Amino acid sequence: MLLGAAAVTLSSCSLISRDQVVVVDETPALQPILEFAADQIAKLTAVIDGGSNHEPTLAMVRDNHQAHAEELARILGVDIPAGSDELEGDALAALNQREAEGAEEATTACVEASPQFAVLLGEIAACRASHSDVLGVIGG
Amino acid sequence: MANELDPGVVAEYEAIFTHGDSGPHLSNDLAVMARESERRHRDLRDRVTGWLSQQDIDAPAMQPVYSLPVEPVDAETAIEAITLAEQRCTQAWRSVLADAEGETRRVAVEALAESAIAEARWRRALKQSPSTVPFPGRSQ
Repeated sequence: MLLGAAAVTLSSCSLISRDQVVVVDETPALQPILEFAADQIAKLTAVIDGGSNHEPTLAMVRDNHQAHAEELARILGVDIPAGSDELEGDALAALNQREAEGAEEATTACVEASPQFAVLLGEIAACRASHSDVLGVIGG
Repeated sequence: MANELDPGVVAEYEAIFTHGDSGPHLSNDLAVMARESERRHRDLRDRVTGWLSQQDIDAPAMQPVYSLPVEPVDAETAIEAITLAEQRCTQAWRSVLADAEGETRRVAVEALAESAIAEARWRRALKQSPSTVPFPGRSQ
């Protein structure tokens, strides 16, 4: 069992101050999902800071990615990485395309994951799909 | 024979029934949206039950009547009934992820994504914010 054999309690470890249980990722599924979330946070922040007319929607999407990143980082016992803010072409279209690709990535990760992570990865996949839908509405 | 997807299939049946009962109380854009939403639920039901049939698995039977938590008698209660039905679909598809494996889980996570999109669309139509949530189907 993953939680029995691989879970490491670090609440008393001097190297990590967080009082929590850290689970070693045996699925290799979570890290790329975290990195995608970090990248989207950076890209959405850049677009918002650039003066987008769709700030409320983009901020909502960014907040969701932030929630994903925080939960994944907590599970993996790592900090949220600095994402890349690079976007090519029309920003909304590029963001939407990435959300669709991210939904596919998370769907595949969910299907391949151990049961412990299936629900979280499914939630993330569904959330990204809803992002793609809403970005399509505002012209992405 | 029961299968892991039964809760999701039953929730889709209830959603179809709810839309059929609620739609006549709505007008204009919301009536159009209810019809489109019902069509999407019917499509999803057909795809899932069709997939189950291909696997030689019996889907639960759709009942002629469902007891709804809110009886739609006017536009306000119709919206409330539909909103609750959409929430139940999302919660039901999320709930089956941990027990499902392989392609069964893929069916479930794709259904969860469709449910998350449907919920978000209704929130947008009702001017609710935020329209998307980070963890669809999870108790907020």
